[in-house]
Amino acid sequence: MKKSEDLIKGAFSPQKKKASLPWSGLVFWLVIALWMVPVAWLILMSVRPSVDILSGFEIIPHRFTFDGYRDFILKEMWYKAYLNSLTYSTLNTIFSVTLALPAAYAFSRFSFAGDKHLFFWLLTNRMAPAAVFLLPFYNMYNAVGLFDKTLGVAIAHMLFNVPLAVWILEGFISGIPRQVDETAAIDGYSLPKFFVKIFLPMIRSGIGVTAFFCFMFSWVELLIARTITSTDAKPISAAMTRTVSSSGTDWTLLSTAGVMTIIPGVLAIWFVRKYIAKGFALGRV
Amino acid sequence: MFNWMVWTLPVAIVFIGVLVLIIGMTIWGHYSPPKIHKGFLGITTDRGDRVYISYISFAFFMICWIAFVEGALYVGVGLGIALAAVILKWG
Amino acid sequence: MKTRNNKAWFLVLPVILVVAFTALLPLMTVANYAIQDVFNPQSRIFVGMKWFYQITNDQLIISAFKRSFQFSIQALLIQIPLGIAIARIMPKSGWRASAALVAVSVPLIIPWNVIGSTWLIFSRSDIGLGGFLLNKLFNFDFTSDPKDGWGLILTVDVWHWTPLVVLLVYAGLRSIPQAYYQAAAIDGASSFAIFRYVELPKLRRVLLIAVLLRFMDSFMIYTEPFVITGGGPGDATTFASILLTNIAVGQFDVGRAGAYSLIFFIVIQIMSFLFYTVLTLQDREEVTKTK
Repeated sequence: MKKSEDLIKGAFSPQKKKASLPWSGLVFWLVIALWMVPVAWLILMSVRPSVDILSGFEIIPHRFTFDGYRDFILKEMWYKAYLNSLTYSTLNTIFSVTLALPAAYAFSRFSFAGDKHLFFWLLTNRMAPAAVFLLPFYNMYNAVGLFDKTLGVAIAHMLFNVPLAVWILEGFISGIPRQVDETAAIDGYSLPKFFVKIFLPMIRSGIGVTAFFCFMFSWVELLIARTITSTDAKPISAAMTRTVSSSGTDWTLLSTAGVMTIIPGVLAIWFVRKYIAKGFALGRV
Repeated sequence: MFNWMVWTLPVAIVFIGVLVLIIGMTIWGHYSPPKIHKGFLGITTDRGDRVYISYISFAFFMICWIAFVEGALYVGVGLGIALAAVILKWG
Repeated sequence: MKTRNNKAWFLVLPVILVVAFTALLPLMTVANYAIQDVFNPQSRIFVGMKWFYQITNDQLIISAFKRSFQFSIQALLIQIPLGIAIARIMPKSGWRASAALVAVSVPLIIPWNVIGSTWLIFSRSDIGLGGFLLNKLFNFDFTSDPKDGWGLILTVDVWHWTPLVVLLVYAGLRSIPQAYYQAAAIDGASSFAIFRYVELPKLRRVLLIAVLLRFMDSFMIYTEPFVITGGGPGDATTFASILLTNIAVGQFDVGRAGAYSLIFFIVIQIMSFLFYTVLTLQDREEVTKTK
C-alpha cells in the first residue's frame, strides 16, 4: 500500500536524484587527476636533461630537451626493440584469438566429457606464476630453435593469453542466443560457414575486447620475454632494464621509452573503449 | 629433441599415470555418467572434482610432511594416499 | 540446456595442444629438475627429495611466501573497496564516460618495468615529486626504511591494478536494469541500502573475477619490486617470485628452482581452487537443486 502511495506522489512531485550526488563527479575527476600524477611525472622527465633529473627536485623544470625522443627514433637499439615488442604482441594476439574462438564456442554451446575440469585447468594456467616457467622455457625454446625469435615470445605468451581469450570470448558468445545457431543450421549453413559468415560479425565487439586484452598483457609482460630473448628479438622492456643495469642511466631516454610504450595501449583502448568494461564482466568463472 | 627435459623414471610414471587416469575417467564417465553428491567436505562434488581435490590434498600433505617430518618418506606417502582415498570415497 | 556433444573436443583440441606445449611440457621439466642434480643434460644425478627438504626448511623462502600472502591480502583489502567506490562515482554516459574509461585504464597498459622505473624516480626522496613531499611530511625513505619500502610497493600495486577492479565493477553496475534503482527510490532506500541490497548482489559475479585475478596476480608480483626496491630494504619486499627468479635465472640452480617451482605451483593451484570453490559455492548449490 505504502509503495503505491509513494509511486503516485513520486509521479507528481519532482524527484530528488539520490544515486548521483552533485559532488561525486568532481571527486571522481580529482581521483583521476591524482592517479595521473606519476604518468605526468614520467612525461615531464622525458623532456628534462638527465643531469637535471638527478641533480635536484623541481616541479617546473628550468630547461627542456627533446634529445630523448631524437635518440629513441634514431638509435637502432631502441626502435628495433620497440618493433620487436609490437611484432610479438601482434602475433600473439592473432594466434590467441584465432585458437580461442572455436574453443570458446565449444565451451559455450556444448557439454562434453570433462568440460568443467578442462575450463578450470585452462584458468589455472592464467594464474600460474611466470617465474615457475623461466628455466624450462629457456631450455625449451633453445631446444626447438625458437630462442631469441619474436615468434618464440609470441608463442610463450600464449601461456596466459589463450586461457584469458577463451574466458572472455566464452562470455561474449554465451550472450548470443542459441536460436541464432539453430536457425542457421535449418537454413543449411555448415558449422564453419555459419561461424565465419554469421557468427564472427555478431561477436566482433567481443573479439575486439579480447584482442585488446591479449595485446595488452603481451605488451606489458617482461619476465618471460626477457628470459627467452637475447639480442635479435629483444623486447623494449628488456632494452630498458638493460640500460638501468649498465653504468650511468640515461633517465631522459628511459622516460622517453616509457612514454613511447604507453602510446600503443592508449590507441588500443580508444578503439575498444565502449566495450572494454564489458570484456571481463561477461567472462564466467 | 626431448633431451632438455632431462626425463627421470619417477616423473614419467607420475605423468603417464595422470594421463591414464584422465583417459580412464573419460571412458568411465561415458558408460556411467558421474553423480553429484555432498560428502564431509560440505560442497557438492562429482567424481572428477573429488579426484582433483584428493590430488591437491595429497600434494599439500606431502609438502607439509617433508617440511615438518624428517625422513620416513614412505610413511608420509602411505598416509597421503590414505587421505586421498578418504576424500575420493566420502568427500 | 547445452547440447551434449563430444565432438566439441575437436574445437577445443588446438587450445589444449598449445597450452600443453607452453604449460605442460615446462611443468614436466620442472618436475624432472626437482629430483635431480643437473649439470647438463648428459651428466645428472638422481637426488630424490633432497631439494624439497632444502626448500621447505629454508627460512628465507618460507618468509618470502608469508610475505607474498600478506601482501596479496592487503592488496585485496584496499583494491576491492577502493575499486567499488571509484566505479560508483564514475560518469555513466556521454563523452565523459568514454574519457573516464580511457583515463582509468591507463595504468593497465603501461609495461610493468616502466611502472617500476617511473615510481622509482617519483618516490625518491631527493628528486621525485611523491617521495620529496612524503619525505618532508613523514620522513619517508623507501631505500632505508622497510615499512616505507613495503608501503611503496603496495601503493604501486594499488595504483596499477585498482583500475582493473574499477573496470569490472563499472561493467557490473552498468548491467543492472534501471528499474531496480527506481524501485529502490520508491521505497526510499538510502544510498547505502541501494548499494547493499541492489548493487552488491548483482556485482557478485564480477567481484568474484576481480578477487580471483587480483589475489593471484598480487601473489606472484615480480617486476615492480624487482625494479623499485630490488627486494629490499633488507628483505622487506622479497616476494616468492623474486626469490624464485633469483634462484632460477640468477644462480641457475636448476634443482632447487625446480623443487621451488613445483611447491609454488601447488600452492597456487590450492589457492585458486579454494577461491574458486568458496566464491562459486552458491552456484554449486543451485546446480544441485535444479538436478
